Amino acid sequence: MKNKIKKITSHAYNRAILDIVIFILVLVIPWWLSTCIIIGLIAYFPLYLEALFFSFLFDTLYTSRYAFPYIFLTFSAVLIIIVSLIRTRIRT
Amino acid sequence: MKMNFLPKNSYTKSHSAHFNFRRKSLVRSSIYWVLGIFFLLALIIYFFPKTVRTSSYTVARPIWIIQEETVSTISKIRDFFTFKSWLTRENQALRDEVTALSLQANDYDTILKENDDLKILMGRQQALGSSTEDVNGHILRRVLSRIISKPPRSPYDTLVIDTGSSEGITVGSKVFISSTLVVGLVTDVTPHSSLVTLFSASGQKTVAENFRTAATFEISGQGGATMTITVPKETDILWGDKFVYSALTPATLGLVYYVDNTSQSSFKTIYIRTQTNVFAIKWVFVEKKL
Repeated sequence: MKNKIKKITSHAYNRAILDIVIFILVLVIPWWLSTCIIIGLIAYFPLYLEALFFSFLFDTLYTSRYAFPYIFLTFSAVLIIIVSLIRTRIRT
Repeated sequence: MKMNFLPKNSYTKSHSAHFNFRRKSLVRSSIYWVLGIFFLLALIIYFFPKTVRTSSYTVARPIWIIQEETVSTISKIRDFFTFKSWLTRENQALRDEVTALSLQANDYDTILKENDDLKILMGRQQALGSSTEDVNGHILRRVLSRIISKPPRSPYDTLVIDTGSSEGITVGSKVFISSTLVVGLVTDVTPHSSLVTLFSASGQKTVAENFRTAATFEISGQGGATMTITVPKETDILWGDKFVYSALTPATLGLVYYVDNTSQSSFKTIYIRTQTNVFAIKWVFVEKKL
């Protein structure tokens, strides 16, 4: 039980560090590169909800009020849903 | 009759049904989570756009500034140790000087034409040192602003600058990269930063005037600092024609660098580009009302 808790804590800790790194990368590297990384992470993790927050950041930082302001948010939500549907089908 | 396979089979079936049920409930809960967070974030953007943007810029600004400083320091160290880099730098400086001189020549043409027009008009007050006057008689002054984020970081043709409403910037203020080269408009303002949408942003429509013929056209942004116009083939637009932003003091939007006549239709596509690389600049001038 103790080992299991330790494992879960370490997993959460690693994921938090990864999120901080991705957050900085989203602000620093070109948009197409950070988009590729986020797509990769959505495919790798079972339910990568952090992608929604990164997309939210993209939309609030760079979209002008006259454009559709939820482009990245919509894209990542749809992608997470599709990936979770495919993932469960593959693992049966 | 002994049928020892049946219990096993029924077990497998029930196990499979149970697994399917678990899988479906897992997928359903994932979808609920995603949709829940999606709608929550979308509602936040919808109801509090200004607060969200201000918070995002507050968080992002230090990281952008640190990155700019780090990149500039690293490039200085590299140049110090590498002779070849020094030569490249000098070459680049000379190229920049040539670009600046060509911009000055362009400014000169614009001012000369404007001067002629003013002589004809007479009596209209214009160009008061660094200030100008708009059509409603407001005195405008330009504020120097540093670009803190630009493409390719941003997926759209937008810039984030370090001046905002506290410096007198308002939505709709024109953004210049030289005295007469206009590149975009301020579309969002927070207290200490603003979002500039370039005329070349995809879907952006701007009314511009051909400087040579004085004909007015609607220019569409295509992204990547490029704008286009689709006009009938007979329209008098040539390579190198200058398009200016229609205002009392005309400001150059860009030059025609390609005319696509190859289409079978009766229209041609004109490609317009800003005279300098917009994505390589570090500073801009933003017009503010006094």
